[in-house]
Amino acid sequence: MAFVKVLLLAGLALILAGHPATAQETPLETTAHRAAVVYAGPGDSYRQLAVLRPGNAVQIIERNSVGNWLHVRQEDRNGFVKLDGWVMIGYLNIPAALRLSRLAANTELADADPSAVNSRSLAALYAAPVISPISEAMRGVYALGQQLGNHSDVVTKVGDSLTFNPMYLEPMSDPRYELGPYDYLEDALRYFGPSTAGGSAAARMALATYVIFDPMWADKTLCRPGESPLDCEYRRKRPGVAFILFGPNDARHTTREKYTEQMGKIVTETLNRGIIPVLSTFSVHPDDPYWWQAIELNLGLLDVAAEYDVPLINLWAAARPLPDYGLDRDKVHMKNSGFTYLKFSTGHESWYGTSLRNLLSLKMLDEIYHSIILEADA
Amino acid sequence: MRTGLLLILLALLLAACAGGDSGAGDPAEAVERYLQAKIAGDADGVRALLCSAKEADLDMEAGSFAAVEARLEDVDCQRDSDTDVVRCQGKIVATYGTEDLDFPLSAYRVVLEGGVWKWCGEAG
Repeated sequence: MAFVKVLLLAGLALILAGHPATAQETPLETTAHRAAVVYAGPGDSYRQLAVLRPGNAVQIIERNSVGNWLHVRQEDRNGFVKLDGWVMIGYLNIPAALRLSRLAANTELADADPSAVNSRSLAALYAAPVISPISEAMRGVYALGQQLGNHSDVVTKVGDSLTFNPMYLEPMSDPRYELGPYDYLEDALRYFGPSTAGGSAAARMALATYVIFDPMWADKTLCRPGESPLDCEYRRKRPGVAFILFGPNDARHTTREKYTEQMGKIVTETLNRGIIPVLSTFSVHPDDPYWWQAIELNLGLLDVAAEYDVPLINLWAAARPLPDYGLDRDKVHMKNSGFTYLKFSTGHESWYGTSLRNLLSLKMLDEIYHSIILEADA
Repeated sequence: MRTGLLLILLALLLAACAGGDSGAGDPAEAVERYLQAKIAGDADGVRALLCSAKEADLDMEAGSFAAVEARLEDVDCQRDSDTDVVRCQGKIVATYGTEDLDFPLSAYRVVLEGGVWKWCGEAG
């Protein structure tokens, strides 16, 4: 009996000893490299608690699911908590030892606190998670794609100049990547990254939801006569996943009803081909004369994602705390970091819209890879 | 009297043989007018020159260049002998912000509907 007890205790000790392998053993310390607003949660709609001054040391407690927000805490000599809140990672000196795969992810706190937002439209937009869960329906889409001969490791992009931008998605094909603390994204990057090289026939400047079906907008050097940009890209690449973003051009001449109808057609066309469509809201500057129309289209997009049960990146909400909402000087296009490869080692995702979009897209690919592709292969 | 009647009949026959589309105008010209209506976002013009098989695409065709300022450059369309294909040279130039986007013209199918030549998509 005593022997059994010893065995049980030894087993328990092994389990406990093994557990820290997936969690950071002792909280890492860091400092802010510039004044950082500390929020009550991982998003700018949460209450602002304090400002973390440069040089003040804090402990890193946990992260949000993506890892671009960190929960930090500061205690005085007596162990009293002086500061306890969330900061965007790009404001911190990122410790070389920080590995997000080993830092606990807080999945209880939402990405936003819509109750603190005094506009019903904006609150509704904030309420959508930055990375939506992958629905069961997408397993069926993946299975259909496999039957149709799609390539599960091929990803493409569909959209206007924000998406045509070679700094979006395509840097994932560059082997010089620096994931920095985002080590947990490496598997997805290795799996999908090479397929992102070379752009997309379905991403072009000035494209809008109508135009994506118009053969006249297709690249005649790549596409067949009568073939729309969307058909052309899907035929050429037979992708497993397509990132789709429309809106900035549509906002200038399309109603919410027309936009959602067209987005519905694009999603239907994508699903019918066994391709998982990943929709994305878009960032808009409050100075934009089409601000409210853009908000309306983004809300319409949430409806489309819900109706078809497809993945959605809430880029609008995620980009809100970035300088100029992640936008460039023209207040329409997302700002690039200037690096042609993925570089998340220095917090660019907290400063540049395109870096943030790349990070969120890679995070979504990671979700698809683990929850659909690996499970199906198993 | 009989000779005169024969001459009239012969003239009518010749007119008929000159082609069923004699009153329909030039198909190449119809394509050029269609392209002009399309880039201008002229929904009525597009509707008038769009074949019935493409009616469902009317909104798309008329709204295709709504986000840009577009113009036709060096357009020259010619019908391929007696086929239903009109081949165009030249391009559409669309200005988006500070950038010009080129859309080289290609070959288009035309159909005669209600005595009018209509544009009916790209020719394969």
